[in-house]
Amino acid sequence: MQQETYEHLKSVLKKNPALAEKIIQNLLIQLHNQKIVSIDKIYKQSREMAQSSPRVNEKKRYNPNAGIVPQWDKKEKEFIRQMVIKYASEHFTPEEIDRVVNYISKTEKAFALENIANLPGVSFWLLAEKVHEFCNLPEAEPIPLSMATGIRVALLKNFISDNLQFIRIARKYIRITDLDPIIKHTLGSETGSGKIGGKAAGLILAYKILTTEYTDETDYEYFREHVHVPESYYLRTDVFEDFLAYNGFVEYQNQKYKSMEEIQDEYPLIRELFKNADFPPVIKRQLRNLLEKVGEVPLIVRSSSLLEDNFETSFSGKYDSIFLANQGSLNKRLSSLIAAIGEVYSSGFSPDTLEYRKEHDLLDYFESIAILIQKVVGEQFGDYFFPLWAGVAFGRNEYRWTKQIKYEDGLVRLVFGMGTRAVDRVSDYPRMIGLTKPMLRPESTPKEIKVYSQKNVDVIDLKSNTFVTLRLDEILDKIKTPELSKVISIYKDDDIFDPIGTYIYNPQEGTPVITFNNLLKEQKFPELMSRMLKKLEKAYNSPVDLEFAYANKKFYLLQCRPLVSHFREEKIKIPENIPQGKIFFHTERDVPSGVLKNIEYIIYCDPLDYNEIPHNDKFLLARVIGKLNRLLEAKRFILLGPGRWGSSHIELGIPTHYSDINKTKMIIEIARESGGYTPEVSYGTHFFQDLVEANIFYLPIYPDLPTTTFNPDVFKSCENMLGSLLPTYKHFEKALKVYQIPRCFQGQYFHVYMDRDNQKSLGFISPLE
Amino acid sequence: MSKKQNIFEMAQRQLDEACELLGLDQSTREFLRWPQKEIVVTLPVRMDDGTIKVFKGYRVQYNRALGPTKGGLRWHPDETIDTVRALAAWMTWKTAVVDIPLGGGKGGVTCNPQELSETEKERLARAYIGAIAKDIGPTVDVPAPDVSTTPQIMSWMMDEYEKIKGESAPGVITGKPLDIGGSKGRASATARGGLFIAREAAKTQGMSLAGKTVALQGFGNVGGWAGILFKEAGCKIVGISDISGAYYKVDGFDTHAMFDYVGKHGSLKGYTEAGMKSFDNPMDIFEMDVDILIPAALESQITEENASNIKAPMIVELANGPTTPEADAILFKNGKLVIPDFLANSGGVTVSYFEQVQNSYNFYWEENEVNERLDQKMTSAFKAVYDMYCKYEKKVDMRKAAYMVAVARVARAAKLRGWI
Repeated sequence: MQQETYEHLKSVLKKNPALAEKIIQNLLIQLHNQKIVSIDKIYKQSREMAQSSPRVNEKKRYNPNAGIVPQWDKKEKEFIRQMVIKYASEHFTPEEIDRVVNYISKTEKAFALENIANLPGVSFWLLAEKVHEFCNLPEAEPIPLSMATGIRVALLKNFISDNLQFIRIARKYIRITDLDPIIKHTLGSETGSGKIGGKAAGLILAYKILTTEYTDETDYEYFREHVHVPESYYLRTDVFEDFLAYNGFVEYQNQKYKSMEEIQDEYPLIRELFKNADFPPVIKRQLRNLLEKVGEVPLIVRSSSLLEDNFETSFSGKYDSIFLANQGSLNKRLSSLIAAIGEVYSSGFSPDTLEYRKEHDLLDYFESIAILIQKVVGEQFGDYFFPLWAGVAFGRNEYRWTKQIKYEDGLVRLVFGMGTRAVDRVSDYPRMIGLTKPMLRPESTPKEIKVYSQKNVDVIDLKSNTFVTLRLDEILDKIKTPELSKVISIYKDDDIFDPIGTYIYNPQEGTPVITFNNLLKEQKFPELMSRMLKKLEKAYNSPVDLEFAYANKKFYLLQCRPLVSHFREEKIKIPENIPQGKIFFHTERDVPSGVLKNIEYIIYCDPLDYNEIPHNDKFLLARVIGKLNRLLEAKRFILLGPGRWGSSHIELGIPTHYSDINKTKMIIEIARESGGYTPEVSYGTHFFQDLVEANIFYLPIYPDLPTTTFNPDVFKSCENMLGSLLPTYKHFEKALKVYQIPRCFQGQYFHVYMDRDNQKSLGFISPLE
Repeated sequence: MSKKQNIFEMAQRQLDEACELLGLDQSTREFLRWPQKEIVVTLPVRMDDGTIKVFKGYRVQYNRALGPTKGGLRWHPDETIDTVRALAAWMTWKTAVVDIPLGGGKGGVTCNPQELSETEKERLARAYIGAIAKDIGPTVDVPAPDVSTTPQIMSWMMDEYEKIKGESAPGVITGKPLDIGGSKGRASATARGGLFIAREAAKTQGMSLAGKTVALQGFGNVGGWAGILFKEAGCKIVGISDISGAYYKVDGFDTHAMFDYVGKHGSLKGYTEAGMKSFDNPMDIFEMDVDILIPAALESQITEENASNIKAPMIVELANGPTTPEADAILFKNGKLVIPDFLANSGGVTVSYFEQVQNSYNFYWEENEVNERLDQKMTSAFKAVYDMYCKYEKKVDMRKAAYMVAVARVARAAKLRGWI
């Protein structure tokens, strides 16, 4: 007998009387499994020893109700215990004994944890404490997977999100121990309970999918090396409810049942009220601690609503994200943070959000908004703070100007500076990267490349505490890093050259143009994006879209969610033999897939006529379209107009909101190649995402391409219905045409066929189908 | 019969007219009507995904009587041997009219540059040179950039040629970047050549350029430089148009500012300057009351519809083929002096020739030296054409006169060589 092990075991048993029996049982199993001594042998020996000693409980032995195996009396049990201690002391080291003890206490704690997690209305901090205890147990063998999964599900539901699709995936990748650091970064009252919401959940899950060692996948080390997530903090959903109660805003929860007009009218007031509201002292203290901890670094405050970033609905861009430079005194920083959170909360009551919820039948859902506070990914250059590159990536690529680029390989919109320029609809040109062939671009001459490249840069100005947009030349001389040469190319003498070595801004040497050529030539970045999109797609069982940024030589994942798309994969056959006089358009570029039949109304704004409208009337025109949208709600109608729909820059297109166009069956953007309107189309913007989710078809028409037929004269003899539909706005008749197709084509309708595989579309008039 | 063949037939018709006026014999006419040598190559190129794609490439050496053939390389999906043939013929007359010791050629590859990555472009460029290396060279045939081919592509091509030859031979190609044997003054060469020609033309009318009003159609590279250089020469650029519209300013535009603006925005849309008037229709430029009209945009802009509205007494064609034959007749009838494209815009090929000269000397000139020599060449080229025009008592237009000068030079060289 090894005295040391013996003593250790004795003391362990003494210290844990409640677990003693389980420890002995487990040691017995270990002895058996390691073929040291079989269970049978120990039982046999113990029985013999018990029999040879005086019997105390004869009666019990002959109980006819006892099972086949004789019941052990206390004495026999004691002999087994002694035998196990004997064999264990002979064959195990004290460390091996500890491992067994740790495993036993871990399963015990796990049971307790599962029980508490499944209690209704358990407080966040109680549960958090149990998780923390569990995570800080001494190292031991993993608990059985079935048990772990049960606990994971219970905890995910409590802490993160109760979306079942999320949980189905997350339970495979997010371990109990992964939750502890998340809980430590979660803010909220001690007694309350709430979740951290969809956006936060999506990011945590995506990171875990990439970096968790899981079954047959071996690339987790690659992702551990190449992917990071920014430091994040979470305000639970119940904080939102506390906020409403504390400020007397509870009545606004019923805002969603008001009419659209009321919602629109009252929204500015709600926004102001929320921005100037306060938090209960306990939350305020936590926010203050957070700011003290992170210091004076820029932060982004994002909503992480329970509805947001779901599997069917993405709410892309519906809820606000607010950047904070976060500079200055603690009090000043705290009040900015509180105002930003209030403002993000208010976006849950905006007309766009409520309209979107109404459309997706989500109005009756009790909406609580969690908040995600992240350190902004960036580097400081002079007074400015921004990442060297950032953008969005999509698992499917609708933006294909040549058949060489495959739909399934995905698309990246990449920008220099803050990623806002890639996500939002702004008058600029992100680098569009088809991952099939990353270096390929639709522009073929150096001059075109120069014109169709990013001109402005979004940055955080630390000095003025604001988010600003600067011209490229205003910022380039402040950036001294060799990595700039991955972003910039030089236009000189009618050609584009990629810098050799470090790029230092000197306008005499040529015009800097943002191309990312050297970054793409290295191939590492497109490879990372491709691998990431593919791996996440496999785990989600759906293509995803991502937001990312790169700074301080690290790539950060900022957001991940399933990509909602038309996914129409069936073959479409373009009708032949349609007479010329019945064809409105035929295109061969950027054609998606789909068939839209029996359109009754066409609302058409000619680009040249749009140009003629006075500046101010352009905004009014967008509102007129909004009215038509509501008026024709029950009809099948499509919209055609210049440039980009939904842009806030009127020179780019009609400044409609999503709620102005959401009833249409199709949006057509007329992109003049070299005229006033730009060929940058909507693919990849938030607005485009909205269309896809609402099943609104989208098609760009490039009238200047030789392969395009675009013939508005088809409707020459049609009466413009605008005046009779909206008499007040009859004066817009020149710019805005509303044709009722069956009325002017003897009961025939308008149809659109789009064949993605062969890149052909046809819009024509023919009988009802 | 395809449209492309019509282009070559058109080139032949223009030649026939010049031969008729010059009274050339039948065998000379027949010889000049056809390319001396045509090369068609098949180019297998490995794509980025590992597959092989096969391209067709062409090189036409139209006539080498005056020296090594010279002409651009076009990468275009609709490229055919017929287009290349017609353009090679025009290059022959262009080098001849400006009197540089070069013949005319052209080349191309049928491809869509929009579908080619940088690395694929490089492999295609090298494959093309690999296939035609035996038939080109500084003393044989010298390619240059054209549609969708860039100084970068010229660099790869030169490098491939040098590898095959095993020696330095920068003169095999022109339009190279300055760092590896390009010439200074190339970017502005076409516009500057046009300026010298316009100055000489004005002299024949007893005028100088100072204070003359100019209208420019097109504000791309050529039009933009013309705006800057004509202003420097004392002209007032009162009218400018591009795709976004036509603009007028009575005391002349700040063309430098406009050039910068277009560089950033791609067009003049949104450009403002105090006192300027805007017209939505870019074609309004042709009706402006100016001394000199410079079409510097696309072909077929001056047609029988608008030719009679043109007020400017002098038209300098910096664009290729801006005037249709019908419009030409109207302008001639109305007594306008039209400086034809292949004379007016030959500044580009002249500086290409200078690039080659500098390459063979391995000694490079400063920009003012390039510009001075360009001035001499353009001045004497204009004089020769104007003399021909006068010799025929101004009964033929300047275009025909220029053709006659060019064709006569080529015919004379062929005769001296004993070919015809």
